[in-house]
Amino acid sequence: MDSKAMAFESPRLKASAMLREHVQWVNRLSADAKMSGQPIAWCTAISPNELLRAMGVLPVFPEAHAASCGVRKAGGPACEAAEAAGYSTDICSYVKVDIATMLTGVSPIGQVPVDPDLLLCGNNQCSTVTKWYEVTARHFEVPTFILDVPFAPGAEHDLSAVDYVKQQLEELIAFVETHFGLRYDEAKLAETIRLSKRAVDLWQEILDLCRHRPSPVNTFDLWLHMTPMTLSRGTQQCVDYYEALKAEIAERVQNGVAAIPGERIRLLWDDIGMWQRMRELSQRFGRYGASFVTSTYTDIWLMHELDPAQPLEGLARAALSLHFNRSLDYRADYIVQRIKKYAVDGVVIHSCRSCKPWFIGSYDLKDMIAAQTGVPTLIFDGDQIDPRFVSDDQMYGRIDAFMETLVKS
Amino acid sequence: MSAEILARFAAVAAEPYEMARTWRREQQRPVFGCLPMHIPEEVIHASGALPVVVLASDEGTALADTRLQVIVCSVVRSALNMGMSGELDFLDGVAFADTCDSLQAISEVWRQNCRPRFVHFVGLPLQLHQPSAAPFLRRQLAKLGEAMQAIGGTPVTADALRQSIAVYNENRSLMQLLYQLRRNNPALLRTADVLNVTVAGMTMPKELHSAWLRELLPALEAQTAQQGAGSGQHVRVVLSGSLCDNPDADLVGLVEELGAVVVDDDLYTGGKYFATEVATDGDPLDAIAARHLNMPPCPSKHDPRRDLGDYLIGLSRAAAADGIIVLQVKFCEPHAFDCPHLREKFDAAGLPYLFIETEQEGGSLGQIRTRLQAFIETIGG
Repeated sequence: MDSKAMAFESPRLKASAMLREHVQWVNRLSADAKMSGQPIAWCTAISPNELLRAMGVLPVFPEAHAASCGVRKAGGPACEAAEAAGYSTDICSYVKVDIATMLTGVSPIGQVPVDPDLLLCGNNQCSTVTKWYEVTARHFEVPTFILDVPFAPGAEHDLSAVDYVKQQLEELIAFVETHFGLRYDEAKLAETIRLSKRAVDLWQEILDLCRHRPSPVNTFDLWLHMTPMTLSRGTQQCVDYYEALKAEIAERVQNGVAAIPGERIRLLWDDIGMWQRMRELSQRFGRYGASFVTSTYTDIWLMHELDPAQPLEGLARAALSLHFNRSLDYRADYIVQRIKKYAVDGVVIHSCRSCKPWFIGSYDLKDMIAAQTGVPTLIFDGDQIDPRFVSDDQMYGRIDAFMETLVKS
Repeated sequence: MSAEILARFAAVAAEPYEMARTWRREQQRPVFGCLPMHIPEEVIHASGALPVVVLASDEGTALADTRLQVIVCSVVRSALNMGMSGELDFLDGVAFADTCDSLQAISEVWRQNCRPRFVHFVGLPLQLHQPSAAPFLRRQLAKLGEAMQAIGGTPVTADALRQSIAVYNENRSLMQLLYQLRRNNPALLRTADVLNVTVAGMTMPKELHSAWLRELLPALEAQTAQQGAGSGQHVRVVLSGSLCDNPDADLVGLVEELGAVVVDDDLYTGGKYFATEVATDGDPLDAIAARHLNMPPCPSKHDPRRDLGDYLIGLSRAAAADGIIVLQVKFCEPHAFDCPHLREKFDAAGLPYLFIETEQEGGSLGQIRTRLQAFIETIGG
């Protein structure tokens, strides 16, 4: 069979409607907060925002806005606008989109994030976010808290690093109390963490469903459905969402419904998702019967360190444990475990121009994965949002070459 | 004669590891590489080892290019290349810090590909102002000291630290005197020569470096007395930026060729390296930590107590500068983010400025010459 001629229809999740409603609910919360005077915090995606939520601050995530711009292929002009304002063309495109939105007051998708009253930035994901939040702080002139999460290369966390992050969480509590007159209540935080942990556990169960042959959903679907993990972690609504999503996906498993009909190759995606080419990539790989059954991107929400009994300790450990805050040995092992768990035939690394902590080391990871499992890796250049840094010809050419080899083997 | 002494510094700067290799052979003590920036050297010195800063070299990067994507700066690329080529084999170990995402990530690529194989990651705090920063930094300094023992260094005692602090403070105060001399007589020294003094100091024993400075300073003072002070007709500029990287000699030479003199700088291979002395009272590790936490504003650190723009404007005013030239290393993110803000601050303060992006391979100076010439003529007029 000519793999290129293989046509297929990927089934739509009913949860897509649920996702739209959830996002609308989240947007209503921020509109309500503006009206009522509830403090609004712009937070980096992987920050311990549960702490703010528990204290009565509403976390809002400008990165999610940028990601949506990428999905809708609307990020290009904003990136250029940021550059026109003097920001380097080489910085992360999430940042370019959001800086442009902030400076112009216009969102490429008509959803300007509501103005913040404070900023919380965790640098576990990268140092770029610190610089971005400094720019944002100067613009809005609001109190800004940078949570410094040290690089954690060891297999076990250095206790001085855990203590440092915990001490900063206490500083964050005092910061919110001082600036907004809000009270810290450990019981409230414990409850928020309990809900966050429940969502994390559900997310793990959903990801585990992809062990099934064929996989009921693929990673592109899950990138969209991880939106609530970003936006509303720590709420009952987030838990409810994932209960419902899990039920739908479990039903697919029951009925043998595949994300990629005729699945015959199982892939792992490493690095940030490529928002601007999700459907195209799903299709391109899908032609070969290839399904992305797991990704390190969806797995960033597996914050199993969260612990309602030790709220600050758990938050600190979760922040340190972000997998691209770790050594290459750790990351290779992380991928190798998943190759085995999900029966993966090939790895695809999106060398995303915007994300240095993630893409530096790709060539070594490829070698380490091959040495430990014999599984081949494709590395291709791209960007999650900025269309000027994607060469479709080059990208699809490399994908086809890789897949043709994989299909034959 | 100052020329002879300056030539000594230049020779070390040109072959940065020659003296260190000899030292290692003769002393039978470890030499420890420090990737930029800000790794506190006193701790390394206190273990009896020689700290050497690993700056980008002019050699090619063909080896590094096989392991590293394009949009990573030349500082990181060059370091990786040197580690892969064997050029740094003589080192007993290297230390990396979280100066930026690239330097943090490359420490791991180094572990997979480079020599020396002994790598120590120093978790320097990226926020300098919260109470939590000091105890964390102190613990990191202690761990650095412990790491030195693994490569043959002696235990880092409080007394050893006090002695090392004294050595480094003396060196810093001598460098401050040199920079004061230059502020008063910027035409006395070529910028490339001044940078060579710091760069040489980064790879040679501070004790010997200080001895050379003690020869250089009186020689320069004597020269000033003979030739007369002042910058004369020259346009006065401050140099800023070039994080982690020594500015290209041809570029800084061009500034002078076009009629300007550099009166001060906040470069890593300049003012930033020897800024502020370590307090000599109290616990020495705490004192070293305190110096680190009160460093002049750096784009790689978050410190809301200071503003880089205000700092550079202050520096420029104090040195009676006509303008400021900001060098940006290509692909250097932390600095790039600060530059729009710097422009706003300089505009508001009425400080003329020129931003120049630099690449390690030099590229064509032709375009830069045109812009520099226009800038120098404008501010000098």
